[in-house]
Amino acid sequence: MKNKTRLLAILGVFALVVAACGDDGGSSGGDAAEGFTDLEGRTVTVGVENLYLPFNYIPLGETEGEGWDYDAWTEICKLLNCQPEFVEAGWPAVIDQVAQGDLDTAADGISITDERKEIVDYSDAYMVVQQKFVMQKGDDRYASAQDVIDSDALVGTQVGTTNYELAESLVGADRIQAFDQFPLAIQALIAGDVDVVMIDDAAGLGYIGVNADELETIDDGLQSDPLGFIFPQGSDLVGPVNQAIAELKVNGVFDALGVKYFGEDFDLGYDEIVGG
Amino acid sequence: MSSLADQEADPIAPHPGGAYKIDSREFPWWLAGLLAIIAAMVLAILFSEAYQEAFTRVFPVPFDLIDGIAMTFYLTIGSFIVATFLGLFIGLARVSKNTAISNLAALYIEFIRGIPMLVFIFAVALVLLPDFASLIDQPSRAIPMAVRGGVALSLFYAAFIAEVFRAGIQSVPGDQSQAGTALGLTDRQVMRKIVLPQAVRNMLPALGNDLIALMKDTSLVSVLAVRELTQMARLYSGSSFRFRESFFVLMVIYVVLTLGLSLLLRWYERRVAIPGY
Repeated sequence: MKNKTRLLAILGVFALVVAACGDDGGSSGGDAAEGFTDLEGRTVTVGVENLYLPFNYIPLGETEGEGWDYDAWTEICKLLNCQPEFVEAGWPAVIDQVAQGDLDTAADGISITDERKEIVDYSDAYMVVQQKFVMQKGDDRYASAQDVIDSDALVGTQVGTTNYELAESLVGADRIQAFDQFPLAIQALIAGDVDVVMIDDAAGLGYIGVNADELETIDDGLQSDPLGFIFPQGSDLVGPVNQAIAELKVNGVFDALGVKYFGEDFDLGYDEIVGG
Repeated sequence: MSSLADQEADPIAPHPGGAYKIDSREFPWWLAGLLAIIAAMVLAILFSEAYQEAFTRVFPVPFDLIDGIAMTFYLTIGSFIVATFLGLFIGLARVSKNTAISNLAALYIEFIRGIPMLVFIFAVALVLLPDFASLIDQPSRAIPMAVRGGVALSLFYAAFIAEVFRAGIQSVPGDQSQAGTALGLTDRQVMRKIVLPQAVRNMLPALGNDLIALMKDTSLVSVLAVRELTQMARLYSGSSFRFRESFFVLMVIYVVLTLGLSLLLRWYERRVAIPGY
């Protein structure tokens, strides 16, 4: 149908123009650090959810995102001479978008799994997280993770995550409520619709930071997941990024980020808002 | 067919003698109720900090002026225009005397109408458009998610609007087209000059309904992380956990938008009504 194709072509051209206008060109004019591949100031589009504390989220009072992923990629690009551009995407659609090449990479606390390796390439692991249960503060029904598994507790989590897969293997799909995003699962926990939430401990800390009076973690780590950045298969960014990750692990930058985002001082400024 | 003007007799009409009388059966109590709800929300926003915060996050002012609302509007208006054009052609194809064309159109309509909007949005944005992009040898990253959502909305509503066109065309009495043929006009001229103009007037209420439905369905495009109204509320409540305030404010904003649109459409229908038809 000529009209449809023409219309879509026009839409596509319009989209290209808009995309081109939105890009600031990305030439930082700087240089890569010594010994690292120089990406010559190119723009790297990084997919984020902005709904996954403390890795990527929108702080109160802002409209743009912040978080561990933002800082990490800023540091990586300082070493490699590139310009990160953060693009919001849905989960788990972002994996598909990277696989298709719509995004150069994605950062969202993405666990490294063999199934995902079939469609995307991973960087080296930059962090290892433990999957844990989060429950309501003071809930005396569960003293350990085994209590949760043995009881008939309802487990909340996010679709398409290794959290879901682990929960399924531990308690069975019937006891899982899978939400689109983690804030919804956490809110369900606070409201009492689910009994626990299965989440990576790093993210759990982020949510507890914002809801300190209401939640606590059950300390038993259930599974270790290494986290990596994903890239389209064959991407030329993997090697340079691995170099950068190795450096940031030893030069103290990742440690500093860990303190900033996973330490007790992590604060969204929530307390400044009166009432609630 | 009673005229649109007659159907809603002015409920606050001057009676002979000059006195105004409110007919309690005709008075739009529903509208008064809606306006009361909106007024209550406005008061909540003015006097509660929590609601103020939610409002400015979902409806960011002043520097990120109406981010979410602007995107919702672009999606609604853009998709509706495309859907109407597509719907016109598909509707005409549907009533065509050519068996192949009318069956293809019917196939499209029935297929689309059998799919839920959310499923269709995923299918178009994550499967069909990337496949189309590789077909024409373009990188699919050239098509932003907002455009993909708009395409999904357009294709979906084109099917419904096609049916509206078909019903509108078929509602024009047959003697109109016969008279046209008798005057020596070709089939195409009859359609363009006699049938369609009359059909469109009949179709306005249904088209208006589809426009409002489309505006509400733009909220589903939030699953593609497009920053329209619903996504703004999700992003805000994802950090603040103020779900109550976010979603109440969001609901009221949508009601205000659809109410405004609905009143606008009614005004337009009255304007183009022909007394006696």
